[in-house]
Amino acid sequence: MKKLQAFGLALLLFLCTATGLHVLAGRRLEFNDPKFNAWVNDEKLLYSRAICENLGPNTIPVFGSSEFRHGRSTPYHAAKVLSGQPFQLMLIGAGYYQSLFHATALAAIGPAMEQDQAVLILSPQWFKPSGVLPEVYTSRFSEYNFVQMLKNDKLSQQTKEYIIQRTKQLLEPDPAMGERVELYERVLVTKDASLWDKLHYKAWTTFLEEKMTVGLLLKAKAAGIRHDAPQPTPRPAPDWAALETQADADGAKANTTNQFGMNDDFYFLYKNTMLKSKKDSMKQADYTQSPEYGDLICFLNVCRDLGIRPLLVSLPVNGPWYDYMGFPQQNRQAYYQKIRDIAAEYGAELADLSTEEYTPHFFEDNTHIAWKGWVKLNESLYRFAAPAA
Amino acid sequence: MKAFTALRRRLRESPRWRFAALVAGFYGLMMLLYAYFMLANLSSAPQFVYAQF
Repeated sequence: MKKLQAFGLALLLFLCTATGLHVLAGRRLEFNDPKFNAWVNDEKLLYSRAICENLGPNTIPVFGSSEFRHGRSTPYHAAKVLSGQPFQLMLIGAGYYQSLFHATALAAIGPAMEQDQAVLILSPQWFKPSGVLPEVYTSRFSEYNFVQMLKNDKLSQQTKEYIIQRTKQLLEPDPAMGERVELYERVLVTKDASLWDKLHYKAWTTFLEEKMTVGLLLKAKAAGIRHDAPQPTPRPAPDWAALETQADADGAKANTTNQFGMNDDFYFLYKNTMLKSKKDSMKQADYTQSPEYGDLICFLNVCRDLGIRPLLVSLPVNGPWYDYMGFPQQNRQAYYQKIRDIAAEYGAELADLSTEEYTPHFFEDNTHIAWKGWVKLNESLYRFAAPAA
Repeated sequence: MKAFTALRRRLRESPRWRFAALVAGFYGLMMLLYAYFMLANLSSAPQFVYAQF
């Protein structure tokens, strides 16, 4: 009897503690720190609520992938060049986050956006014939964002259905997650959930939200993201010509050994491991046929449904490197044209950087932009965001 | 050491202290369980290794 009483009292204390942590944690998701916007971390990317809490009236979501991690230590990263402008950029993405993830994330954060613009940076490598691989997608899938997407009433049934079906298809390597996706569909879409389904849904999503809140707060603290950080002082528009000149100089210092424009450290590593095997390895490659196009169109449909004006940024491939790999120039141009056609068909603005394939110091390795690449990208972002701010 | 044994004797001999220790023990276990579920990687996704190359 004593043990039962002790257990009951301990349970009461525990529930009070958990409730207190829940209330406290929920209030601390709004960081008021520009570092959060540029922070590349899965805890942030998979938890749209954290992004929503940090969207200001002039915050534009910029969806992309691995380029966000590169250049952070240089003065050319968007977080530095575009700091102090009358708009803010919320960078959303990391390696292997592609169109379908971004379509879902945009639908999840849409209701919290106070302005009507969004940017999607397109990497040509997304458009391989396989599109996003199931193994990759399962590791990047956010069930929290997926649920928020399903709850967004402004999204058309057609768009939701596309995301649901593609998600189910790509979650094949993760049957447990696939079952939960079907649960969410029963509860939120087809509305034929059983009582057990509804209880399961409520309990699991409550637990999930709690877990994601705690995880994010801890990771943010470890990353030095604060709740009272000083805000950047307003700055005039960047001097793009000066930045390009500086980028050329810095790029020249970092690349002294190879004709591919790669920085010396990367080239040294690559030379010893992969260089020979890559020669002429992509002679049959083609980026014009891929399920990724359907996912890209889905992203544009989300924009249409939510009244968002999109900017597509078409990044180039590393020209000298792709020549070395034998990727036919004709096929590369066909890919760029397909992106132009889709942008025109769906009314998206397009920042077409496809002509920069051979621009010196545009890339730092086989795929990632650096120096001048960042300057060009930043200028595109600025020209899109500044007039509306 | 003497203080420790004195505390131990008090815990064993005093019903109130024994009860408090029991509550503390149960509470500690619940908080450990809570911490585990909040912090553990419970993802069922197969591991994917990011490959830049």
